[in-house]
Amino acid sequence: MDKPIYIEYLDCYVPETELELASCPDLADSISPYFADSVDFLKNAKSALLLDNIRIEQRLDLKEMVMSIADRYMQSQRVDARTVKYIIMATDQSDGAKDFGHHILQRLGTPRSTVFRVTDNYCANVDVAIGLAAGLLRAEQKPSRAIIISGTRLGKGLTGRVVGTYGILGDSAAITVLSNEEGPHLAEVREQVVITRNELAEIDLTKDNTLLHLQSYTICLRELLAKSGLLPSMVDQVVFHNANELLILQVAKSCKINAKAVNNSNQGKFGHLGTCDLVLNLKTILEGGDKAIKNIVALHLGVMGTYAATHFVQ
Amino acid sequence: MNSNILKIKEWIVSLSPETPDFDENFNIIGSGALDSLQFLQLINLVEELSGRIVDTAEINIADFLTLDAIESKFFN
Repeated sequence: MDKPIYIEYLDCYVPETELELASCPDLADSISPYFADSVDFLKNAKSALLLDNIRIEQRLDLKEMVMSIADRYMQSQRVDARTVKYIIMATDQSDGAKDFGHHILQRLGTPRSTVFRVTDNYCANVDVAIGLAAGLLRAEQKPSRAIIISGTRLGKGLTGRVVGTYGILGDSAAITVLSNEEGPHLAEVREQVVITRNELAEIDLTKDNTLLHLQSYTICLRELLAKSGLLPSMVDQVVFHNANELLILQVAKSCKINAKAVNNSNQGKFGHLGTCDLVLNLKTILEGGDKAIKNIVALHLGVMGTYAATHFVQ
Repeated sequence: MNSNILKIKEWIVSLSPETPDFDENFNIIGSGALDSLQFLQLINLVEELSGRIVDTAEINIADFLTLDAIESKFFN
């Protein structure tokens, strides 16, 4: 059996500022060509995404957002800096918080860490990073940790935030700490399946990829269930992006997973937080204190055609 | 027209009242009568009316293009 890998710490910074969708000056420019007009967009946002507004950051840049939670981690945890072997940058955009991994190294005072950057999977970068970190930590003989940084930070308005009918991006930053050392932890990372589809060689949001998403998510989830030895009835919670819930409900149904397991507790609150949705939603469940929840499956996609399913055990 | 297909047609018309009357060979996807979210709702409606679960791993757009295609695949 593989060496167990634990999630030791999760934290997420979500800004307080609310951007009201209806009052965005750049609304009309941001929604073309996905929606016929502003009324159509706002109706879709409200009915399908439960959104009137999203959370955006106006004061801090992405590095400052990340550092605020990294500092909180260092203050709250007595981390032996020598055990931090990997710092993995997994922001939505490949150039987000550029060269920032080494800054964290310096702040932590870690003498022997390697910095990686996971790129090109967009919102699924954090999923891929968790799989990568778990593999690296399993190979370590001594107590070791990996710190994964995720985050997304766009401009003041709606420009670049509307991901077709899938979701509306807010801003946020998050930190995930994985360890191979048995001790106090939030959850265990079990299996992961990642598939990539070569149909999407570029981002083109004018194309409707619903069918591709349905097929790919279903294949990915079924492979994960088989790999983990999980029956559909054993899945207690499904976490997904704070975005198109209908898509996940349809996939869950096709995989015979109870719709009640699809966790939508953060839907309609902040917007789609890209690589931070996984951290936020997982943290919400794990801090909820429901010990009856054992098997959690995370199901996420990246806009370039990456689909990731990960099994966590509380 | 099968009564279930009529219900699907009524549902589509309720979403897009401006869509001119259409027959069972009208391309409901290609015409833009349904957007991607409504396509998901269409799958759900077909499942409800047919009592069958659509296998989304094997889903084929051709089975949803027209009312005729939906009838052939799910109601025969």
